[in-house]
Amino acid sequence: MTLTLAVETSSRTYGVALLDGDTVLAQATADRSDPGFVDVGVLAGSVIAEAGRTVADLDRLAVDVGPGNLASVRAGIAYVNAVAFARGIPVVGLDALALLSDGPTLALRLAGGSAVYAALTRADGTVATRHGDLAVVVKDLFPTPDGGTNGPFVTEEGVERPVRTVPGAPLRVAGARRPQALALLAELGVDATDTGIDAPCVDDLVGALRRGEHDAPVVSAAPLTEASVRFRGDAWAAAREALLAGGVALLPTDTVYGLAVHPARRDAIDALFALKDRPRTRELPIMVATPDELPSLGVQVPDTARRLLGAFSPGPITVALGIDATAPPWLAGREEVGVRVPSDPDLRALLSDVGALLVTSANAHGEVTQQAPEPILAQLAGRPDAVVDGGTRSGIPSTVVNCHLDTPRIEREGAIPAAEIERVLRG
Amino acid sequence: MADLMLGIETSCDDTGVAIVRPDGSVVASAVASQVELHDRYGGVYPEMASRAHVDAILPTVRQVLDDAGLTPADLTAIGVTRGPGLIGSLVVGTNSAVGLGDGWGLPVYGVNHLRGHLRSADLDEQRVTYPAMVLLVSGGHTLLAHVQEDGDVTLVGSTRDDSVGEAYDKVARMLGLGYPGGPAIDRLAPTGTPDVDLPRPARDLGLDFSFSGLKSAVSRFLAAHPDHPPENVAASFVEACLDVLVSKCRKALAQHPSRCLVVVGGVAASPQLRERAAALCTEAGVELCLPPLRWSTDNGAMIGLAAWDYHARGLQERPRPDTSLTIADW
Repeated sequence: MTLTLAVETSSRTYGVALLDGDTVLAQATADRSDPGFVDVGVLAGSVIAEAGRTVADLDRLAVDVGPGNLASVRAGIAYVNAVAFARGIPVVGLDALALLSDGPTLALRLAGGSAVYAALTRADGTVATRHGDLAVVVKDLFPTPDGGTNGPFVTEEGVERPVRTVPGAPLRVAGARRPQALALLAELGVDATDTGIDAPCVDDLVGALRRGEHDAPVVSAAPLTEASVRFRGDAWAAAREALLAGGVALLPTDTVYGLAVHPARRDAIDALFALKDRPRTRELPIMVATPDELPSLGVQVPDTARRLLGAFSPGPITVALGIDATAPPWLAGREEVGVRVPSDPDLRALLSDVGALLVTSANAHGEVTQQAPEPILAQLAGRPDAVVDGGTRSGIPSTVVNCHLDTPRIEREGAIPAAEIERVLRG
Repeated sequence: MADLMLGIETSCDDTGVAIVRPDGSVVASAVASQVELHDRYGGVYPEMASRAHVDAILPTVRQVLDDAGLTPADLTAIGVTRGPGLIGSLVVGTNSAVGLGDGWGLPVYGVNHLRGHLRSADLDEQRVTYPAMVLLVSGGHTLLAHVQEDGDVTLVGSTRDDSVGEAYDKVARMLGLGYPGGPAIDRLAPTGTPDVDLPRPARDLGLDFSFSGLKSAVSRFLAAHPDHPPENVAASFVEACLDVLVSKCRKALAQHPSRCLVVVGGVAASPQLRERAAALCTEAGVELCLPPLRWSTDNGAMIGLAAWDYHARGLQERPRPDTSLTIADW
């Protein structure tokens, strides 16, 4: 069975559990402000030893990536990522707001200053995430039925307030600032109950792991912050969900609009080619948040590519690179792969959250790529599962340089002039 | 097995990783800098610093191992900065080091960042002879310490308020020079004439320093004379700082017999300070020991070399972050 070490450090109480499959072999908690507390590694070591195992036996790690207490979330992530790096095993990141949610829930955690992180899980299972002032966030998540802003429901004359309930109510409220949130919800006429829960605990991680309620494992977990894709607006959050569920997303990039799929989803790749009305004849290029990810994907980065990426990326350059034997199954067997690190901050937040994506230009076979979603959607043979409207984007694609050849060759001159590429290659 | 220490430094805004031998030779070293990130804010923004360390630390470890052509099995131990520094940054470094130590089965030494700076003058080659007077001048610290051969340290002077590096950064911001301010001021100052009369603070504080008065004097002068040539303001400010630093070093050498003066920390990269310190050493008849420029600022190599001292003393303990360590602590 899979031996998983689960680590929860998002509040003052740290927790660690060791699972063999779904069975908890050992677990422990500690108060990090206790003078006798040393570090999460000591806690993890005691749990592993209690179960009669060693760090070398671990198959997988799981960690609460927050949001939560800034320093302590990073303590857990840093420890887990380092063990994963040292042992060559994957990490499952779990969202603290999701860990607090069970059915219709408003989950809250403190952010900097007066701000909060909020996630509203609705009765239909959809989730909306927000970052900002609590009152603003609550009004935004519970708009008035007519779609307008929330007016004063109680006037001086004592006009009756409209009572609104969320389908599947009552709504649970969990995490930080619950009294204030409950008061705000009452003002809006939303029926809600207090869970009495301040922060997630290691049992919540164990539960989520048993139910399989987590994203695909990654090489290294990233802390969840307001810069994360889940807090960059509903369209980006929906694109993330669609991609993880095996869908196709239409995304704005720093060059042209692109159609993206998660690489582990073979059927999604077929759906993408169907949208483009094109036979599945060529291998798709990938986008990554940073070139640091390439070694873990088995992508070889020769000196020429390193120089080009150093000079032009993040930005409109695609380099074709070779692949070695350590590549994941979805990449293995290819001779080479086109790699781009886009400069659009929202897209990079998505990539650092879900990992590498397969992305190609959003055009029908043989047509030019239009610059805005509306004409693009009119051209495609069907509708993508998610659409992010980024306004009008450039019609100029990236410049493609093949660095897998002994002498690099410019295969397409795009946004970066060939002369600029040649200047960098000459050194 | 070869004696190879992996040193990790994350006390402030740079992620430094290196592999170092006990004699100070550096097998490989890399520093992932956040200068660009913090330039936009005119200084280090702690939450961004810790986030950047999470992203940078393992790729930097991988890079150093690759550059050295080594595998983790070749390493003897890991040394990591446990303080002083920004708590969020220290937490990322120490927990990463503990995770690597657990994963690779290596001991982890929690190293005092200030002892790392002390040992930076012996990187690449042994330079320091003892007893030594050490001037540590950086963004976070300004102090004078008397160091014995056995590693015993006596703090003989420290700043009562700002570090000299902080004063550099703040004056650089007043002059619109960006972050980090030290190199920017050092470039500008030689092009100007020191024509502004600035105070030489802390004359009466014994071996202690104070720079907030100097910083305020620059601010008041700029408010009254906004059109004064910035290169002249920079030149005057640098001269005032150096006068204070050098006069304290002179006093310290007179009070505490020393075979050499060691100048370490980010401000030790200042060419003007290097010149003035050399002149002082000639005058006082002691040797001058300067780390190579690349080891003046925060780096993993100095932490790796200091970790060998902990190894030799059997001082291993879990590297629990401690923001309040002083230079006399291990």
